[in-house]
Amino acid sequence: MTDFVQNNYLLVAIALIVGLAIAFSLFRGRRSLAKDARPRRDLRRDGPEGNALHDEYSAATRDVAGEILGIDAHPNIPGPSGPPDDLRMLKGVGPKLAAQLNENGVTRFDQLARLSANEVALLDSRMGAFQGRIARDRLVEQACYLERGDKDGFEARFGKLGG
Amino acid sequence: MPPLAKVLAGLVAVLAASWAWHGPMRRGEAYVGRLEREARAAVAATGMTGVEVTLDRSPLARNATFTGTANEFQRRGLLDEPGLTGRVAAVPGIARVRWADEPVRERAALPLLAETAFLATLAYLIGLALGWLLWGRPRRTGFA
Repeated sequence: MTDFVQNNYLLVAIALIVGLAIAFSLFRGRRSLAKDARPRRDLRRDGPEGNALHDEYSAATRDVAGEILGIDAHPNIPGPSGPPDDLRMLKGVGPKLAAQLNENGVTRFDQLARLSANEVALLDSRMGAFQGRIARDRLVEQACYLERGDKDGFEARFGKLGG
Repeated sequence: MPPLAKVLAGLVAVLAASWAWHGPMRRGEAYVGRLEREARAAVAATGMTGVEVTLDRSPLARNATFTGTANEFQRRGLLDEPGLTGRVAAVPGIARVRWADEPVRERAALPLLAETAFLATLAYLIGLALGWLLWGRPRRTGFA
């Protein structure tokens, strides 16, 4: 058998290289996709309120000032910039939760994706029976993928769309 | 392209390469020809005449077949002295030896094309496994 393998060493080497190349395209591609597609808050596009630390301090100050003065000093959730998306595509969002988001002015993925931490907290406080679901179901993170149209990245992280 | 389609495409490419290697590139025929020459040299070294050894050609296989007349001692040898069967079986690369006038006792080796395809497929799978070890294995990124 050793003699047979030695006689075919070039073919064996070619087959080994093909196997490595296929594995590279399968695994390396998937790893870099997952790495690149992972949304990070610091790389998300800013909404009107901004995501930087000083933006958050500023918003918090406005909240406290608004409470002291007895007025709603915090700006509303930024409005939609186009036709509504089907928010039920987000994992964990059913018709009722989608309706609740719509009632609060959220109709598009990009709105969710650009929410700052303060805006998420503000929106969550208005979600009634669905309070805590934005964080628990990672809706902002999911929306980051769908806003970009990155279906592969979404499915790699959250599972099949529509499943 | 879906992952399974990639794996199957690679496998088809490897099998096609095996076939080309074996057939159009004539490596199979050259290999069997070399084994046959070595087997004949082993027979010639005993000084016996009237015995011919050939390797299967249709299909090509690593099976050596003796034709001609030889007694049991010449065929099997005695004690430490190997006979023709043992001498040819010791040639590196020969898979099976038989005499044409004896009933078939053991299963013949696979055709050389099948062996070549099997070897290439095995190497391909090893390549995939190595690739998984290098790039596909989940890696710990923290202590959680």
